[in-house]
Amino acid sequence: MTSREDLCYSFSYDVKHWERCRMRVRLKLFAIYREKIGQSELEMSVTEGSTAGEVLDRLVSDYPSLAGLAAATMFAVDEDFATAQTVLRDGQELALLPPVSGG
Amino acid sequence: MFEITDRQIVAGELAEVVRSDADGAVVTFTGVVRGVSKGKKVLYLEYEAYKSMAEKKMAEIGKEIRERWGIERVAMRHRVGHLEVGETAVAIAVASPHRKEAFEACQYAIDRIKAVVPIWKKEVWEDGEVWIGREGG
Repeated sequence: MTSREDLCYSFSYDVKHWERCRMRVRLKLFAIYREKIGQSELEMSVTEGSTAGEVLDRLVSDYPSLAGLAAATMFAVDEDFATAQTVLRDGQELALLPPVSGG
Repeated sequence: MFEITDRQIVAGELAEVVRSDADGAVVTFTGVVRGVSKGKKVLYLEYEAYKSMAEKKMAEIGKEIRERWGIERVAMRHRVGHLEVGETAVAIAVASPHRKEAFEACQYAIDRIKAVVPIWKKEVWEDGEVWIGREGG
């Protein structure tokens, strides 16, 4: 594994070229997300340095029925509110939060 | 005390938790399941929470109350799971030497819970169901 500037690349022997390193993100899914995907947790392998918004985009591409929900979705990383621009690190927990309706 | 529970909530229990000999007022709020929503008969509600973050956010609201009114003794309990009409979904108790601060802080607490705590409500009627979103409910 080597790094150029602040990006991490590793050589993939499968495809014989340098690829961006990957990291694991734990997704927490609630309410309508949980119902549509059928799980309350999901682990995803994403490009290192992905943002919360990029992870959501990737989830929507895997589950197109989520497309209408994305715009109103808020984010939490490790139990703190975050934004679509928040950069994630390996092993963090990303929660996708539809508009809340407690109380 | 800031808790998410799946058991029945009794608001009086929270009042007992917060009261101290310094307090002349204990104000409680009870949020109950309404039988009618947007003109439709509600069969029941389902509440779901991001439990760890919800308890954390409720504790933060308690801290905001301490900073704004100097009130130390606040308890909040929100229920999750299947709730029938008339059941208590959330209870808040605030204790203070005088009633003005206790009333204000209690109203602030429920307003903040509804705004920032990661809890979701699904309404179920005879002919459908929906997760309540920004339109409130």
